Amino acid sequence: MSTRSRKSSIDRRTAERLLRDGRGTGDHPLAGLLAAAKAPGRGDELAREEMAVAAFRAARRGSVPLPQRRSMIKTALAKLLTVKAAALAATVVGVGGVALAASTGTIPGTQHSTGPAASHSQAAKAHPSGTPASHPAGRPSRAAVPSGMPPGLYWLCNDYIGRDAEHRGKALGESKFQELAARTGRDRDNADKFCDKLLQQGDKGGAPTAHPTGAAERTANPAPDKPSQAGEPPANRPSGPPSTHPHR
Amino acid sequence: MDAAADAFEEALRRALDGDEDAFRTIYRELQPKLVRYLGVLVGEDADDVASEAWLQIARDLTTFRGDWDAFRGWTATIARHRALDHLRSMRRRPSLPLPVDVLADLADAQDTADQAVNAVATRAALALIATLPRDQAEAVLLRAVVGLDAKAAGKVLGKRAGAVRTAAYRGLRQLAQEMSRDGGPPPRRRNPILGRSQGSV
Repeated sequence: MSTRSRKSSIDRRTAERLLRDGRGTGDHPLAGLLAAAKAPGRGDELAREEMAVAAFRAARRGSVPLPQRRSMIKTALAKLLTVKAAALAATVVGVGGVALAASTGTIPGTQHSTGPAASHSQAAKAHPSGTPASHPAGRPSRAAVPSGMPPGLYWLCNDYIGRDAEHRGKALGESKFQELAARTGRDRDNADKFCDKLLQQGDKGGAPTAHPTGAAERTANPAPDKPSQAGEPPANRPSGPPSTHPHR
Repeated sequence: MDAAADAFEEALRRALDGDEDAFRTIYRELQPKLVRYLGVLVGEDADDVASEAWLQIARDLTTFRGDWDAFRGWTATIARHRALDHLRSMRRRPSLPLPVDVLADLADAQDTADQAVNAVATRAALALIATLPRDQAEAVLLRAVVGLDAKAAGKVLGKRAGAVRTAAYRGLRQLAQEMSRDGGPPPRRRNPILGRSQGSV
């Protein structure tokens, strides 16, 4: 199409050389272009180094060795729940029996007018504090983020930490992050720590899986970032309106 | 090149052990490449998206296993996914105000004249590459700027190595044609509907 197509033509071999390291292509016009494109970093490109380092530091502070955790933790959790369920059943029956005996003066099962099943449920209601599964009320401390944390909070933190450091303080004022703000006294540092902790726990096996975009990226995979593949546009589609491609 | 690669290999190993200075070394090496690559995906939001990517890189570093080459591919993948998420969120919230990047402006002011000239050349080169169809621009940047081979770039893009080679080749051919027309019209804008330049392929 060009009148100077000979000069602008390029064979695959030259293209491969240019793409690799540019060696042996010194006088090709594209060599200069690509050299400029990969010139050393400028100050403005490195302006956010401290933010990245702060994130690195924060991640190190809370880091723990990561075994093949997901399955192990699930197994451990399942065992724990089984034990708890058994303990709960025993407690309900035990406490219920005693309570019923105390209130009626008889041992359950010896009287025909009230069935044992009904008695048990009554008694259990009357003694909620006897169930081992009950959670302490009040705001959770950082150390006590429950393993059965609310999925909403996990993803809230995910969105929150995804914000730029300089925008996170403001984000706490948004209604979206109301719950997070309430739990952390609307303090950015507190919220950062809280979320780092929470996300880390989630990473270790408790992550809810129902998030629309980020679920897959929290797995313990060496390539842990596979967010929203489902929504990923085909590679050859346009990347958006022209306005998202200003000159740079 | 090999000596440099060895140095980064070592820096990566130390960063994985928690060495902050080593992490800085890695950041300084990769950040300019990532932000330039992101430029063809999200334009002037590249700095913001790169920051998001680094937050994730720092956080998930403990899960990474592999060498320096694998690490560069890993970071490029994270950056790309953050960019695609960003594009989706932009579609949902089209009127998002652009943040004023004071830090970048300050850093700009500190550039020496020499750096400024180079910066202009770099920007011009990237702007020209950004006029390519996206798949070609991505292939060229991942290979020539981020420094991945065809296979690694294919992994980032979810394509076969051959497809990446072809896309990069077509991109270079197009760029060569653009550059050979002295005094010709400015680079054609990408056709937003078809995702490729008007005119010949």
